[in-house]
Amino acid sequence: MNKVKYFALVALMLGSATTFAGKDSSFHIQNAVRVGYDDNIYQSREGNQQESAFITDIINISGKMAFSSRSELTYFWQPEFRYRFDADPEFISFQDLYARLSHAVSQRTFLEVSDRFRYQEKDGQSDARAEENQNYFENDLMGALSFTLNALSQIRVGGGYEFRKWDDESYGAGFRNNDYDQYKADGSYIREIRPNTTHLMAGVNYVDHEYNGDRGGYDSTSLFGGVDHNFNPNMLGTARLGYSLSNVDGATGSQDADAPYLQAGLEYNPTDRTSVNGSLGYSLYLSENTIYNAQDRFNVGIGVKHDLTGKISISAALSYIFSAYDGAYAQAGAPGDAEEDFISLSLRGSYQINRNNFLDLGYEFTQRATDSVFLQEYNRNRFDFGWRLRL
Amino acid sequence: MKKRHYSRGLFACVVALAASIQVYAVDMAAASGALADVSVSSSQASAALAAAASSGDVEAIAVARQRSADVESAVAEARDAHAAMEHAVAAGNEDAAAAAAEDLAAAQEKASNAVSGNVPEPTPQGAEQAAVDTEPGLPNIYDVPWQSDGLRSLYQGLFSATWSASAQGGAGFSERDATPE
Repeated sequence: MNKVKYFALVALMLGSATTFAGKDSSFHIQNAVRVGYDDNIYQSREGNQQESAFITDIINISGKMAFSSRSELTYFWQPEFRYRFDADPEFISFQDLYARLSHAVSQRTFLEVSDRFRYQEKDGQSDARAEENQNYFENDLMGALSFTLNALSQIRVGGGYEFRKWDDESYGAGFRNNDYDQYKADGSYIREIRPNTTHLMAGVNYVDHEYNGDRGGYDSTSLFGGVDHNFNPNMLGTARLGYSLSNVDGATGSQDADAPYLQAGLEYNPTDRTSVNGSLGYSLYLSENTIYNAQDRFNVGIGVKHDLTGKISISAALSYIFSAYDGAYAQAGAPGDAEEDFISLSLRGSYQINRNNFLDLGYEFTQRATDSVFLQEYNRNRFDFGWRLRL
Repeated sequence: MKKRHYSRGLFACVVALAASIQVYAVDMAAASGALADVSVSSSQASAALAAAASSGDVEAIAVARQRSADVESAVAEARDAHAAMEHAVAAGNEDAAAAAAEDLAAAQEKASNAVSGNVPEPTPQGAEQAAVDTEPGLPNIYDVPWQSDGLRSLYQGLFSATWSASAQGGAGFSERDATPE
């Protein structure tokens, strides 16, 4: 083969490969280096706060791989390496790893299996106190099958297993027993009422949550009906309303905790530059503290993204959780009833220098307030500024 | 001798460019033709629905109504794609124009399939997945696969905004290169 033909062949292969990659798979890699300041790195009570500057490197790799016209893998991996100037330990690292396999078994049957692995610091409602190690790892494996019955109806069934294990054994096990296992199952019937506009559904959801050792936990079976409705191409509304039949293990035995179940939300994209998403819910939920085995939880979440210009974008997220802890849900003793308000507000602006480089500025505020002396109140403010490379 | 090497290199570059053009080629005339095809499909679907309605066959009416709705959905998608393509071409944004051209071709195929009653090969990129693929580079890692498409779409959007704003995430792959200034 002479050189001209060789060059032509390589060029054609490159062009063809570009076409294949563009249609069948995607790959994104991003690296963010940020410096910042955190005024309460351990989420401690006022007066005991430890502040620190930090520098962090967050790598994100995500994308899709199509194995065939029927099978596709979605993946997401985000390791973070953070150095805190005034903390013990100074260096910590976190991981988020997620994969979802989607497979069309036949014309009528669709299978999805996903797994999420996290190694993270304690959440906002947690009261883990050992400052030298407040991390846990968590794994959530889920699978679902969708059966298309006819042009209008389908059935979805699924199940999952989740567990969490704390690095600090005295918090995860021992008398605190915050490590847990959770089993989930769900079945629903979905029917299209108006083409591409309205779907009605009815279903049942089951959760069995067990903390480590003899602490107990709760189980809950929810029966619900719901609707998804496209008001117009830019607005989607969704709602579920039902009733949960639940039992929570307490110091004096199993307690009935039957209650209404609510889940609703609105997705609104008024322009190509703006998206607004809001959700609210009420249900029995796991407890993130050592005192109670469950909480009656009302939550509201709002997320907004907006491109101010072609180069400047902003994102904002607000989360509010009201938690009611019934004294009968206590794993031991008689701490009485308790209430808790948790607020998280995140703001971030991004300036695109060129196709691959960005400057980011972020702020995050979290606050936990409670009427219980057993639960830890705190305020936390975090600022960061950094450079992000996207390839 | 050197001149011959330069010629070969130039030839290779031309071939490479031609190979790449298949990805980014933007032809507004062809796009207008595709839009016209979709409109024809719409007319055919309406005619089929009218014929079914006059027959009094309940099953045939239901099928024709479903096909007509699918075609109308494709028409809306085609119009949006065509408008986006015009805008991108005017702005000189090749990537956005090529993406819009792909969307238009997909809408054209969808309309054609709907009229003929063809059911496309099952694929994860099908209707079930469309709702959760709005941010292809940033999957919702809290996605629950047994939830309805509407709920998954809602939480995909909420996750995207929350992750973008958070200290851990930062605006990410949902950033839209094609957004005009």
